[in-house]
Amino acid sequence: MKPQRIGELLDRIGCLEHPCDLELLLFFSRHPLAFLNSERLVEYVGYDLPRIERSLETLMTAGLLRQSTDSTRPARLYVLTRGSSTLGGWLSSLLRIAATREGRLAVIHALKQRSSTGLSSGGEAKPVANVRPVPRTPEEPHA
Amino acid sequence: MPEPDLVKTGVKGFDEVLFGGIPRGNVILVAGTAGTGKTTLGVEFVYRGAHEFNEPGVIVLFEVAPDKLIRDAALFGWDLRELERNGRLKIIFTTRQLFQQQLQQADSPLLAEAAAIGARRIFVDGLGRLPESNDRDSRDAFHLLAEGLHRENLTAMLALESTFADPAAARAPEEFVADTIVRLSIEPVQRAVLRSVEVVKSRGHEYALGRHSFRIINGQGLEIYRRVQAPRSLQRERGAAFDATSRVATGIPGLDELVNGGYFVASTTLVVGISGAGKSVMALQFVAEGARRGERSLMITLDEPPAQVLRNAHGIGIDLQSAIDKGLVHLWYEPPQEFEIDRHFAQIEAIVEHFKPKRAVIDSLSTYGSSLGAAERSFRDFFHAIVALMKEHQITAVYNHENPEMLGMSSMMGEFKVSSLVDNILLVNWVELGDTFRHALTVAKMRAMPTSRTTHECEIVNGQGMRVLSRPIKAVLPVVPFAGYLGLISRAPERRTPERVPETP
Repeated sequence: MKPQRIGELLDRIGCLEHPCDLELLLFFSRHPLAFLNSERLVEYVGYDLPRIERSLETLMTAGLLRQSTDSTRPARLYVLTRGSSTLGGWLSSLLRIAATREGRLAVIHALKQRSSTGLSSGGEAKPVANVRPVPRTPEEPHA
Repeated sequence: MPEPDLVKTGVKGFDEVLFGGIPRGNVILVAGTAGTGKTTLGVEFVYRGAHEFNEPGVIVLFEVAPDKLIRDAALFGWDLRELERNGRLKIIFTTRQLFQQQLQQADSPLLAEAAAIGARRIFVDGLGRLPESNDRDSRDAFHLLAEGLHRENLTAMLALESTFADPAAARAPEEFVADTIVRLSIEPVQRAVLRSVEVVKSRGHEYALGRHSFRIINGQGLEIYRRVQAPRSLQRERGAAFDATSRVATGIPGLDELVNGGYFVASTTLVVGISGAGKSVMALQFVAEGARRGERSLMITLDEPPAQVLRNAHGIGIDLQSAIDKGLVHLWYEPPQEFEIDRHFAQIEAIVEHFKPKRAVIDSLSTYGSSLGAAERSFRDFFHAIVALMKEHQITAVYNHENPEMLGMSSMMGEFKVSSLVDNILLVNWVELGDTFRHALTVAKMRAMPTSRTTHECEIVNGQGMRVLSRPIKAVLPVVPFAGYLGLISRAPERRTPERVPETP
């Protein structure tokens, strides 16, 4: 997969900025209806809790994920939603690329590059999802 | 008495074992070691409910990723994604602890998801065994879980992994709380393995006890074959015909005269003899006679593949293929390697019910004995079941049995102790006269039909088959009374010399 194509897809999807966003998205594409608490997600995805929470927020703001709203419970029901049909199509393409190890690493590499060059949610294409900017942190996966 | 509200599983053969299904609301524990088919059974239970019985369902997973489950289900032809899209299925990924907590909360979002689609069934995969050291707590915890499921009006199937192959060693506190326990196992049989399912208990209804075989079939799912020995309908026990006048022609010239015009309808006839004595020829002629009369016949061949049977038939002037094409003969071959007797019997049962033959031939019984162990109870049970099946359907059946003795017979059935189950026994023997083996036939048993025990000569003519020869010398030999012999009940009575024969009073 050419990096240019990955870049185009990330531009069109717009909301993915951090490798953790991608990892969470991949997790929820495998588990589209999951009832979990954030600590469990930390164990599954391998990033620290603040990062997981920021990525959850990113995905929910972009309309790719919704969760049950009862704040009195530690666990939430997460439901993957594919957004609009256009966004869903791009998302599916990206997830197909990231389904292999090489593809996943290539997307993570692209996200990191964009993060270091300040090119996120930008580029030539206009982002489709309206993403609230989140502070970027240089955390690495635990594992 | 009110009829129980039974939930059909939809799993092929399972509802017959369960006598219609499982009482609605039961908590069903499916126990078994890894690879026994627990997940497949549970997913099929929910899939069939949503797809065939308009009962939406939920699958709860703790370890298997939903996308893998969906992929694996597709191998069986179950489109879980489609059911999800149609709002008839939810696959929820969570942890055991959270699931347990949710069942105790009436306003649980997880249960709200189930309620949103009107779920009636739930399958929980990979329920962990609670600590053995504190059985009372485990039992209480499971009781709370069962109570939560019951409150939600869900018929629940819970897969519980046993770590022991020995079911007794794997007894868990959950088993005492569950309403229904289904145990799946894999047992080695020589170098093969046999899958079996047993309903250990099930509250609120009757079911067939014992272990039943099953297979997991690509493109279909589970197929359960009721244990051969399990009692069938009462009708089968009463199935024997009481028609004392009708006879079923044997198709062998000269034989009908020896058996009072033919076999009784729905009778069981055993043809016993060494290999090559003409048993299969007689079977083919019996089937061909049925076809000639427009009667359907089922021919089950275990030793010879169909092409060979057709060739053999052609050799004695029988166009078996034509009879098959006309729908008068069903030739069914199953090679005897790795017999699964429950499955084999279920297949015969299905053929009998659909094809509705009047005649049946099994060639040969000895092959079953070799596969099952002739001295084993399972062989006798199988034979008993097949005799009952034939009688229920009013089928006149002929079974060939190979007796290994070449000249004469010291025992009709050898270690096959089933002769009491059959109505008629014909012995076909070699007799060595001069430098030639000649065919001999003796009617050794005809239940409810007195007949001569005289041995008759037969011949098999190329292009014509077997016929029983008439006895032109019948009048020449005198019939000597018992008094003319010594040692009558020994195996070899001797003739008294004529001068010592006492006069008959």
